[in-house]
Amino acid sequence: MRAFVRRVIEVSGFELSSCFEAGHGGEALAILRREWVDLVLTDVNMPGMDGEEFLRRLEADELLRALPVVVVSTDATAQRMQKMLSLGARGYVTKPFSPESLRAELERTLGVPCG
Amino acid sequence: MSVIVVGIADCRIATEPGDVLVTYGLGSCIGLAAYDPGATVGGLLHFMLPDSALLEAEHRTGTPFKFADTGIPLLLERMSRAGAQKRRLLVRIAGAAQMMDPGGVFDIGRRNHQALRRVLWKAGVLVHGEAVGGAISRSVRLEIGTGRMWLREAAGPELEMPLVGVARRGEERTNGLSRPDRGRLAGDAGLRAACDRGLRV
Amino acid sequence: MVDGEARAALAAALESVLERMFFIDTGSAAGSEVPDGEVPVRARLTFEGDPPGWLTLEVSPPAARSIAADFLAVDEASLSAGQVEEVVCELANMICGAALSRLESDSNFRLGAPGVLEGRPAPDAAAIVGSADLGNGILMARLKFQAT
Repeated sequence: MRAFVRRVIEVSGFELSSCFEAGHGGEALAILRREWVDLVLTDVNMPGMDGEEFLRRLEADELLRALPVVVVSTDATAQRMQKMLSLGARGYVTKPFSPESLRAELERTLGVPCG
Repeated sequence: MSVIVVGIADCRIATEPGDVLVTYGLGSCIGLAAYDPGATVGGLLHFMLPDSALLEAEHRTGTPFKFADTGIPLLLERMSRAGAQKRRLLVRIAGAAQMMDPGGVFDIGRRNHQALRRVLWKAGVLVHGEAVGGAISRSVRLEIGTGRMWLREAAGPELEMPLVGVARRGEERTNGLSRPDRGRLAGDAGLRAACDRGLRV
Repeated sequence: MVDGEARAALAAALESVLERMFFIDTGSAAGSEVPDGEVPVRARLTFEGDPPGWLTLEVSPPAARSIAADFLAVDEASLSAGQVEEVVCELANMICGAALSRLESDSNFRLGAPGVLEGRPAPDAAAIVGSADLGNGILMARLKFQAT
């Protein structure tokens, strides 16, 4: 899935200068504390620290809470979506998604002018 | 103004600002229009079937534009030779209707649409607008000077097909790091540095 | 949970996943079993929910390779067995999530990590089955809810 998402980012026209990958929230936090990023994409179901806990930790961090986070998950329930958005996610894409719909969510989250 | 008609199983490229590419009778077929605003190059392909493997080998030669899997790569190659850059391409499609097949037995339109999506994904190109499905015939025209695309459905009026999910026409894509709260994270110097470096994910 | 409802959810999940992310037009072609002579690529995952359960996925080898190549946008010849297995695991993950989202909309479910399943799964007559003919092979999903 990471390869698929990375390809969507690249073919959407964004210039991808760096891409960091992590297997779970704890690993991602360690990366974010030492690297500047423009966008975070996260799943919900992950071993170790899951997506909900990851968002709580970001929100609790003065520097990291401003990072735009888009959730990419198989969970299409309204309950989960509302939960993740209330925890600070700026966008939510449910799998399966077309490349174009992920592009649209990324552009909306990053504030790219359209049309 | 020079009107260039693209027939069935046909593909044309145009580079003059006064050129207009047009194709008619898009039923289950798909018209794929691609435009590079930076190079002012446009291409229009009208293909009929999803997969060239459907035909016996000896019948395939000479008809590459009949199929999605052979026609689309050839369109992209021809546009590249005319100066277009893939990363700047704006693609809109029309067609993939279910004509004379109310039971959906052959589903050619739907199969054409899926084949197009698969081929474009492998080629690294996304779609910026589509008018597909239903049971109506469509016609499209692409203005090379402006990049505007016009669609007529059945006997209805001609309407412009907007671009979806693209930076303002003619502009290079930016990373759009303009959200005010980004400044709290790293300050102006950091924000500029992020823009210069490109997107970091 | 009514079987018919689960079967419909699984079928809808198969169709939406295969069409949107793997660019496969499933149409209305329900497939059959993976032929006996083939050793399919298999994946399995469990899920917690109300009720909990598991999903297994079997894909004919030629179909598994072509869908992996399409998903990753690479040539089939350059694919490793590991990459094919990873894509089949992700496919199982998405099919399960899409089906459960349709069925368990009022409760939380949590998917476990999918893994490659070695050997043929034990037959389970109570499992809900969904399948698709991919043209160059068969895909078969089995979804089982455990009694609570």
